[in-house]
Amino acid sequence: MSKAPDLSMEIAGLKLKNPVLVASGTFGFGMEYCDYFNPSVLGGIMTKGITLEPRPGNPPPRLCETPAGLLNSIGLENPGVDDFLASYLPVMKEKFSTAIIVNIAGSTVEQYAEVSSKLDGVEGIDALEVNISCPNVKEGGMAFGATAQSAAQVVAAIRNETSLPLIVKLSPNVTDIVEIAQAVVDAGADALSLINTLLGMAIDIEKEKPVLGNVFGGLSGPAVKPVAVRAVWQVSQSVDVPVIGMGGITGAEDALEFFMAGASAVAIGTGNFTDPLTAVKTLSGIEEYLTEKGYASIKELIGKAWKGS
Amino acid sequence: MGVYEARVISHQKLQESAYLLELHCPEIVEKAQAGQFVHLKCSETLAPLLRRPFSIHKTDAARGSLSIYYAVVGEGTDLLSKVSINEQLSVLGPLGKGFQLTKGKNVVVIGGGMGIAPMLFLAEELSKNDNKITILLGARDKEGLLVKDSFARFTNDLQLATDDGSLGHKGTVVELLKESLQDNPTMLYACGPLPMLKEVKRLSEKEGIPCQLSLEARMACGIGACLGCTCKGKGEKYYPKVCSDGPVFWAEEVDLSE
Repeated sequence: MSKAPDLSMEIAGLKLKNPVLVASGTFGFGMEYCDYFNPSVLGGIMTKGITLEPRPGNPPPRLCETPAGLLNSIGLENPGVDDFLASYLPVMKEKFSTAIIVNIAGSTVEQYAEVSSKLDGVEGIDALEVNISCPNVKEGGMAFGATAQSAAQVVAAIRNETSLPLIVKLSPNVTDIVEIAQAVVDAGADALSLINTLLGMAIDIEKEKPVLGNVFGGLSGPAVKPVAVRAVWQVSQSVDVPVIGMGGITGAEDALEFFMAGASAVAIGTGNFTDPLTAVKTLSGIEEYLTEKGYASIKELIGKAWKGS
Repeated sequence: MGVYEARVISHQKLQESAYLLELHCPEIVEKAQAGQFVHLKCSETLAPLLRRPFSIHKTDAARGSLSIYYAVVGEGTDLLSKVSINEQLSVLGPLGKGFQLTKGKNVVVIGGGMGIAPMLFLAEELSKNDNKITILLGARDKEGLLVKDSFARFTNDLQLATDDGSLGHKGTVVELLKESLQDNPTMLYACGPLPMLKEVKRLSEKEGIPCQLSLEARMACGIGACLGCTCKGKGEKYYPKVCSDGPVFWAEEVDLSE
């Protein structure tokens, strides 16, 4: 019998037991899913985005299902960094034996820096994922990810405050994602997450007004997967840091596309809503695929589609 | 709570677009409380992408089954209506915060339209606790009240209202409630369309009667993780989650203005 394939992965100095993560904003703080499976079997958990102050989020409605997709305008509702550290992180530390990646967001460069400073050196936090791509808040969020200069400015400010591995989550709502990827890597990013949601909207023709309370929302789900695979393909060939691929993954076949496009890990987002077991099923499906094809390690698949055999 | 593959035991078309679906799922039945819901995958494919939430209409411990009473309102429920006996459906549940049950009280249960769905399970639980129960059910027409007979065993006071007068009082269930208030109830339970809930809330506040409302919202995860299914809370800038803070709320906890 052949040896089980090696699923371990190192990203930005962070050792992951396997390359399947769950994406920020779709998995709460992990506790919500404990009744369905043990999240510790995953490579890591990316938390709901944390800001300096608590945020109530956007007014309802916040969701609109679309063909093969979901528009959301949650608006970064979160308890704020202090309460996260006091009430949420201790529970996560106790419950989970997997990487805890804290997603952070802000409205100003200073806020990003201050949140990072508060999270630096805190036991139990394995990495930061920097959200410069949220389409659902008026200032900040996506605005920082929209140009190479502002993206680099935020990342440099955070880099100054923390020695934690920095994963920067980029927006697909830009003209040239490669330019922005290179700028944030030059500013100190250790890895990239691709992609955040696509800016979109829907109109209720009975009410004759936008469906979402916030008018615009972020589109996720299988509908955006080709956009995400393309972004991973482009970016992974032009930067020297690992890329975490996400966007519409609902199973191993989707995840494998991302690896072959150049991702070193993947994250399940909206797929968690269809089935809370999507992440674990994806993980076992990847392992089966590797075994069946005779690969010794998932690393052999990274960028396979552009590297060739 | 858990995710289960539940077998369809029975699936009955009640009227033009409403169905009664019975699922074998003893794990959920064992834990379910009145007012809680299940989150159902309505197809085996990714269309539609999301599950659909349905309140638990009744449970049958002996059969290990739960029933949902639903109307076809879109893609998900349309697919669900085509599901056959012995098919398996993926079910999450029981989810959410159910009704707080009273003991030995004089209570009024108000169900309007498809909001009748959770009230049968509630009526059964209330009947086990020596409550004097008045049940008020309303619908557009008599077709919308085909489940009324199942309520009769839990109350001596079942009152019906239809918009077209085809059964019971011609008018709304809120009009029936106004009369019932003369009997000095000590708890109101309501589920139904928003205009009805607003009126029930207003009356409960006016009369100072504690009132529990079951709300609905578009949901994604159903388990409190995505923060999508919000309603408006009492305080400024507080958005409770229908799936995990509710679906049952005290009337004073929520702001029903649009």
